[in-house]
Amino acid sequence: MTAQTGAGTFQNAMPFVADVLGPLERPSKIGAGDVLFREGEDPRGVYFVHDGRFDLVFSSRGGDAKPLRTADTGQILGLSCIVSNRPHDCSATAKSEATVGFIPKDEFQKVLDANPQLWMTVLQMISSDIGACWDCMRSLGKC
Amino acid sequence: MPSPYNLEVEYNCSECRVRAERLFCNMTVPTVGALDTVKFTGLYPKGSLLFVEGEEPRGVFILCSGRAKLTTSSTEGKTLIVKIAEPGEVLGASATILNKPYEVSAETIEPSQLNFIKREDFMKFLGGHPEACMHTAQQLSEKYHSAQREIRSLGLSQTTSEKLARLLLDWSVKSGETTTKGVRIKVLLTHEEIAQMIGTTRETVTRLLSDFKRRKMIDVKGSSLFITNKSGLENMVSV
Repeated sequence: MTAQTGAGTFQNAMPFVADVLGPLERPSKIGAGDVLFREGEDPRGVYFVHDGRFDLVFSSRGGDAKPLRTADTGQILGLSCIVSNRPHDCSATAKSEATVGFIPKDEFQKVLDANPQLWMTVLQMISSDIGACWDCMRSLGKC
Repeated sequence: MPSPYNLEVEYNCSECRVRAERLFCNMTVPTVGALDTVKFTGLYPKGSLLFVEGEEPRGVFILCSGRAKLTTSSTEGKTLIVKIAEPGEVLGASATILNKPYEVSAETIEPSQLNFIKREDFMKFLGGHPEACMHTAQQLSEKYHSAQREIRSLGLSQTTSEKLARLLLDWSVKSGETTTKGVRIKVLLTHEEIAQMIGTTRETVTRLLSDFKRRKMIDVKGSSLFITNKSGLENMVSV
């Protein structure tokens, strides 16, 4: 699966990123309403969203669950969990039919070790995710 | 000679005694040596504005000691504190890496030592040291998870008292000191700033703290806040 072009996304990364990561991706179609990963699960790998949109759903201790953010085409899901070795802090549910490319954790870590230039893309992606979180906080905080 | 603001200043990262405890700074000697060549050490009083939301990124600040609040504003001028940064954090990294305007403002809330690295130097440093990239990614990931945690609290808390209870419990875990009166927290923020952390008004914070006090869940002595009934606060939190 090869990366497309886009702004502020993995698809906008340098061409070698697609050359290195593309062959490793396991493409799959995700049906609307299907869960990609669940809150509290250990991360199995990273998911490149090639098409579609995911609700990021947060749950309370009382069992309430709300979609508070969304992830769109061009985003990588699970990246920060792999980097920090933490469980997923939300669940990802497809809002509509989606296409993702999955790279298992061990393979992703190996390819990072072998291609240190990829770290810059990792930094850019996590930086974009932080920006999206702050946008969400602005709206939730009624700021 | 006393140091400015009574800070224990460390000018040389290679010799820093707490480096090993810090997520970003805990790098190998050659990488830290390279960091030493590009950073400028600065000492800042409380209330110093490091960068402003919307400003072009000049570079990153490594918070060596002290604390800083990260804030964002709406078009109506309301302020929300998105994070209180602790020693060891790198401030302004996401904007610097993306070469986009700072998305938040950063202001010290106590006297602080910060090491500043110009954007071009920071990017060269990252480009030449994959280890630094990995540590920066870990640091950014922590910031991301901290933001996700705030989103959970803002989005799922049913009441403002729940948000305030959770904030006090978080502080007790991060910096609480066990005493005979309960867990002591040094509160450096004003009621207005606490309100900006949980998306409410100063009046509501003042009222809720009085209510918690009346219900003997907390006690306040000057800038010290004692959690006297931790389970009472925990029962209020569903997130």
